[in-house]
Amino acid sequence: MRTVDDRLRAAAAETREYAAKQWPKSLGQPGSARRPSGWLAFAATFALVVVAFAAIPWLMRLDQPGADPDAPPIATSGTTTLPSTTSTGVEAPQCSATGAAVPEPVDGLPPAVAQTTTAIIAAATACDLQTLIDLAGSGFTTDFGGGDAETMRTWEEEGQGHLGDLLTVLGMSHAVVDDGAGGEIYVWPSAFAYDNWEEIPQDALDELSALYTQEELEQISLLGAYGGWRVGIDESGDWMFFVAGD
Amino acid sequence: MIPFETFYQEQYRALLAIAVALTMDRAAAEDLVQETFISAHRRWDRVSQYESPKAWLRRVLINRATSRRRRLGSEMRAVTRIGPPGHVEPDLSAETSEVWSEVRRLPRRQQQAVALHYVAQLSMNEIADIMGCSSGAVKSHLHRAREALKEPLSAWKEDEA
Repeated sequence: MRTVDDRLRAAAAETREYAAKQWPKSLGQPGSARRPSGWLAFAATFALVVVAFAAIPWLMRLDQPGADPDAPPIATSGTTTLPSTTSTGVEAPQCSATGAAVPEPVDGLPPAVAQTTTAIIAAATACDLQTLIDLAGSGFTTDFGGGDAETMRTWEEEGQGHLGDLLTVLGMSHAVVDDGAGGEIYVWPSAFAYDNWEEIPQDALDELSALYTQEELEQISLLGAYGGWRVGIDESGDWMFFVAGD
Repeated sequence: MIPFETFYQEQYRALLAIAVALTMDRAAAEDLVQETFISAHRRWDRVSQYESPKAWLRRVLINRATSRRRRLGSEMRAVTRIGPPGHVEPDLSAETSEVWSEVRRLPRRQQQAVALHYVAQLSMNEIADIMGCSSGAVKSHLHRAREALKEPLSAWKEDEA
């Protein structure tokens, strides 16, 4: 009778053996005569993929339906997987944001909000937790039960980091909501601006699939409104929350 | 600086094995690996200077595998199990396919720990570095994974192979 460990080791060995035979034909076997032409094929494929990636934000904008006059003001941001240009160090980024798509700057934000947004994106992309924590406003919350900015560090240390989610959220459309005291809060995603789940436009729902499975969205919808990960920055540029749940 | 092409050739198969274990979909695994290398290629000037570009690469891969899984809603996952056009399971034995199918039912962090420990054959510290947690947490993920797999994998009969 083999143990679980034995079975996993056997499966892993067979999988490695399988992968060893899957050397991409476009590159050829290491040292083979086909390698140079194969590399050109890879380069061509790579170029096509780069073009496709670059076209995504443009295509997403083309897909936006006309504005609903009753809907909160919405602006859409795109994302790119290009590296952040604000990081200058060579230390390996080691956090949950590594490899995540980096949102592009959004036009039309007030300068203070744009500045904070850009700084958050740069810090998350660089896995710079201390800067992220420093960017948080005085009343910043990660949990309405009492989590503060340091919670982002704890998430990373416990291996449950959400910096990739933070970038994903900031790559979605945003909306402007009243803060209840005469001010405005810029929120991502725009779905958060709707009081009722049924009122959320389809395009705002569609973009949530970058963060949640359909199953998870159905669970969230039971709350009656969007209660998943969201980011809020007030009009003065104070980062107010990065939170999920009630 | 190690040339990107050399790095690609050295790492491709090891990375593909991890991706296969995490996806059990040949095309998806190849796409994940290719996207991961594209990400590395774009910032190769920096990545090549890292203490361990290999660790960085594996971290990007598992992050992308998680993103892919999220993108696949429950309906898509159901369709994937049935086998939509374009879905090609890797050419693995029935027993190995069954093992990875069961692993894919585990919580995400346990899946990652299993793939990095068994397939990538990394040390606890290396896995902890990639997963962004302590080596103790990795051990805990592996222990829980093995416990969870005991029942489904013990049901596999030798004569089914």
